[in-house]
Amino acid sequence: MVALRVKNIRKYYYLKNETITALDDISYNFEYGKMYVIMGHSGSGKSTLVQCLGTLDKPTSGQIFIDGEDVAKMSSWEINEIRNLKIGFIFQNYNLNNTMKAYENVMLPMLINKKYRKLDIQKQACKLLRDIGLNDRLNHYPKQLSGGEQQRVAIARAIANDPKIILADEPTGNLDEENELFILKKLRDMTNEGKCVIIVSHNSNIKEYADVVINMKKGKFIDYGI
Amino acid sequence: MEFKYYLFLAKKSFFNKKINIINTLLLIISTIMIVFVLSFYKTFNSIIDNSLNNDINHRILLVHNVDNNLDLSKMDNVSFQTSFDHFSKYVNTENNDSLVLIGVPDNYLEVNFGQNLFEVEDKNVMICPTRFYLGKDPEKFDQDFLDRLHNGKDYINKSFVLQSDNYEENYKIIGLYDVNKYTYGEYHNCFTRQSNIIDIANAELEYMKQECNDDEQNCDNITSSGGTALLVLKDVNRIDETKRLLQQQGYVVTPKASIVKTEINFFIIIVAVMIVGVIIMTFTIMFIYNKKSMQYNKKNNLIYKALGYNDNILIRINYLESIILSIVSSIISIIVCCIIYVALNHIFAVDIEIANPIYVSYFSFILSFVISLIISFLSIYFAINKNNNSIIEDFADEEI
Ligand SMILES: Nc1ncnc2c1ncn2[C@@H]1O[C@H](COP(=O)(O)OP(=O)(O)O)[C@@H](O)[C@H]1O
Ligand SMILES: [Mg+2]
Repeated sequence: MVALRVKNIRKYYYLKNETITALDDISYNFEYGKMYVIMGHSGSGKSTLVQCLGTLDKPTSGQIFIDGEDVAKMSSWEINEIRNLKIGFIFQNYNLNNTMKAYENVMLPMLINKKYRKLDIQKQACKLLRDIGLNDRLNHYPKQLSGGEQQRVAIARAIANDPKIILADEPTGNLDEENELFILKKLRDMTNEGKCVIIVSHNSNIKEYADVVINMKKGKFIDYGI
Repeated sequence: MEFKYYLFLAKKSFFNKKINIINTLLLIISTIMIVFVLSFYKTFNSIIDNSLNNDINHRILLVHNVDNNLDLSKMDNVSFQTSFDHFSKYVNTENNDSLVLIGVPDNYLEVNFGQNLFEVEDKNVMICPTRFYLGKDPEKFDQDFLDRLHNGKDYINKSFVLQSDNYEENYKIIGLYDVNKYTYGEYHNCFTRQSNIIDIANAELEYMKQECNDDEQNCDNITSSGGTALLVLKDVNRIDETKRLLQQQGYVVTPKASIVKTEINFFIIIVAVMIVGVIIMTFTIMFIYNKKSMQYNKKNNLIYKALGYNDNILIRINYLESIILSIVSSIISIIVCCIIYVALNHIFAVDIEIANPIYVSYFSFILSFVISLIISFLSIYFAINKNNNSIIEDFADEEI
């Protein structure tokens, strides 16, 4: 089943003297139950693509469909709901709220989820953190955690509302091999549960886990590995 | 989202932003300034009010160059009439302390303790302040002044020998009056019968004539000073009206002591300008800092955005944060103001009962709380409106 469909999307950045083409006429279907790895040199447009897929950025032209619905036709309210319920983001630098404890960070997406209104959000957040191996780090602030631990908190936060699409922009870029492996396995598990997982990475080890490897160059998909 | 979560996020945001220390400080300073200005204004106003409405000196009109027999006492708003020289006299006690004796009709005063003039037969009696000062002319409210301030009750029915040129009589204090009611802040004024003042005046006149004769000069021009009638009015607010009425009848009239109304108006304008200045200053600085604070917020706002928070929620969190800011700074301001108030009273050793009390304008606390709310709301409103539509674009700009 198609989770994300992009159709002829282009993204231009208009600078003073030049126009940068970050995405150049990309069309593709991302399906549930598959893990996609997007590779390519720095500046090839990977982050731009992921941000467009996650509705954090708008393409200059072309369409993006999430579960068959055109993002361009949604109100900002609907887009926010999609970000909250359907998409989980994982970033290279974790992007945790430094003023909140680990479990409070995980609570953030749940606070605005109507589904959780009657449930004990705090308990739920702690359960997620335990599941990801942070049993004794619940009350720590991000600054008190290692990079690997922070990224685990970020993953727990990304899956807090059980989204069906996971977008990860170089999630293991700052991590050592052990943590990298742990996180890749986690992402693989999620894929096996039926989620659509899209990962941007430089690392070729990741290919072992992926269902599809996409190479990008100058804003274009140049080949789709298996 | 439930309110407790709004509160949770706003509290997190408030207590973790260093910029809020500056915001809080600014609001505290502006609150203290507003409290100070309004309290000062209230204190000043009460002094003006008391001295204008109560002090006998501010209710006196002098009518110049008139016949001694002219009777204006039946006029509207006139309490009683006397001549300029027969109104009040400086006298000394046997210990060389000075007192001012003021001559009034027997039923003019209200007495707090003891008896009134019309209740006793004796001639030389006087009514003094409930707390009164015995010494040289007091110049300021210092410790020396406080030491020489006596409780009138200790002196009731006691006698003083009062002296003036060619005059010496034993005077008994028969009653006590409230100093703020008749002679505002004058702690060495005692009231007596008008006839006694005339006696003193005559004795002084005799004395002057003797002196003059001893010097072998021409003493014809030394006479009882007729010519200036003194009118004590009932209502100070109608002083201008009465003055105009007399002027229309051809008299030359001047007030004995006056705080000119325009001076008060001028003062009110200055106070208003100060308050507005404080508010504008706070607003400007808060606005600048809130803009910075919003930028500081940017990274967190971007995280919220990615997690699906809409602008309304973020704006509400910011507003709630500004309410917390106002509450925290108001509480601190009130505490600081209380400390300042206690310290001021301690430093100046002002006994509230006797000296001009320093009023605290409690209204100013409410006012400054409301102002700080409005200021922080407005500055956040403008800061949001400037940043709002660019949040999504910023997100792309930011390295995430
Ligand atoms: N906000 C921006 N303004 C201008 N140019 C940008 C902006 N974001 C990205 N770019 C440009 O778009 C191209 C693609 O960037 P990006 O998607 O970040 O690449 P990648 O993630 O593959 O390294 C780059 O040439 C980059 O310089
Ligand atoms: Mg990138």
